[in-house]
Amino acid sequence: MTIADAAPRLAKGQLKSEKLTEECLSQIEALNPKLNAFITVTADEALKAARDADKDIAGGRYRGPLHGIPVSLKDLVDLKGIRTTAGSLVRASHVATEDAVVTSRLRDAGAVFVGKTNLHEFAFGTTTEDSGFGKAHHPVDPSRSPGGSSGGSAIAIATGMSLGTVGTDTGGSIRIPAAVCGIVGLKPGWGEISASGVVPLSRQLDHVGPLGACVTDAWIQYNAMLPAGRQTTGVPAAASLKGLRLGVPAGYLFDQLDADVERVVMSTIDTLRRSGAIVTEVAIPHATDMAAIYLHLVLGDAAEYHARTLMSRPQDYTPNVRLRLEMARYVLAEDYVRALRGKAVIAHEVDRAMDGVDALVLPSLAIPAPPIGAVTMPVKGGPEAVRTLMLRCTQPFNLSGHPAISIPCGHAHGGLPIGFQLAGHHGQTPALVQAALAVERAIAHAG
Amino acid sequence: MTVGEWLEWAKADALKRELPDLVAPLAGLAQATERLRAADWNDDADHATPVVLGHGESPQWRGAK
Repeated sequence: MTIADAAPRLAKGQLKSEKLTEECLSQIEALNPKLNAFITVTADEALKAARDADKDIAGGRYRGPLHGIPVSLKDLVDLKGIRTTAGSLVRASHVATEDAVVTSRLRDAGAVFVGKTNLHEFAFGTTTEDSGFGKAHHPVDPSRSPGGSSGGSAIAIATGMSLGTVGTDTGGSIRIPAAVCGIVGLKPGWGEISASGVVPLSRQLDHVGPLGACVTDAWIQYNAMLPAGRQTTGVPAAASLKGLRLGVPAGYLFDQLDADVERVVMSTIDTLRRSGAIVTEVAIPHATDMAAIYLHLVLGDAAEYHARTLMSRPQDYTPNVRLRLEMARYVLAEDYVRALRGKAVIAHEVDRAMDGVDALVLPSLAIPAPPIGAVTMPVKGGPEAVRTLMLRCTQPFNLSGHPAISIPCGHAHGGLPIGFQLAGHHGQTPALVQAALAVERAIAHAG
Repeated sequence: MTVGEWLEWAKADALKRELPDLVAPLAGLAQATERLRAADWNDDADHATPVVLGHGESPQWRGAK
């Protein structure tokens, strides 16, 4: 069930939040032992909140489409009175004293919090394999990664453990697991959604945003996460594909794709073209420098945040994340400053690429879900490191701060989902969502 | 220092700290740093063209279009 399906039924009293919440909690109980999507389940609190929601709705105090909807939070996001572990034993006993701003806004919208989802430790990875609370598993093929770092959140949506969820995205950590698990993940523009009360990886690259079963569900949650004065009612209308201008950033972002990913993404672009979209090739000239720029920034920022605990309690980190944090401490200041300059260059070039188009379109992820433990994956041109491949298509829009969304567009071998990414103009996330609604519809019709 | 010099220093420091598993990742980081330093948008003190990056301005660097 989607939020879009459940909300009108809840509003009319045809569906009770308590029943919906019980169904989600049953899914968690049945599937979590195998998939490890949740670190903390807040069953009692959720059921109480659900009963309160039912009482309020019946009493005519309906708050909107999230009222009574079961929602989970990536365990980087504070929920008052509940631990925020960041997927790490470093924070195993840390209990939030206040809601994060995003949590507070969702609470005001009437959301029912069912628990805190598993993640790659401190968001410092793309596979959710390295977590102090055990690795998470892909819902279709549990021998594979669900992506990350918001892997638990993606599993929760894909399996109905929650209808909404909050993730974070520093290099792709909303869009990557969304693509891998066959759901929608929206990274708003940088700074649109408050990161206050969210454990950081790199404050200049971190974005907070929703994952959902469809674009409408992502919109409903995104809207509720905005400051009250910027929220709107309803869902924006889908754009018309006729005349929609789409830019394809050819070159680096399409160079090293799995064969199935390339086939399905190109087929999707062709579907859009045949539906009337105007598709042109655009360029991000320094795209080949992005990985190096991103790496130096995220390492430098993480080194600062973890400096004290890396010295005082290194054993409490998972070995792989600890190793990366130790490496981070060797980044020279002059190279960090170079990377800052490179970030500005990429931001400028993405802006230029968007001149004259409504959105950029490209794969969300170069590969389908990798096997857990895989170090390399086969792509055009030969095997490449999983870590590099996972971030390749998403990190441009963390560097530039443009909003970007991943929507499912088909499947690879073994039924593994493939994601299609759209990126929009600065400050125009609603327009991006309108384009995404149109693309989602076209993909479904082509289906 | 050159990247090569940095890598030798970093590897030696990692081994002194009894972190031999860090040597391979440091080599990978060194490759990324080489790439970063080779980019044509880097500033150089003796380069004639001023390179300006300002809010709202178009950044200018060697090769910018």
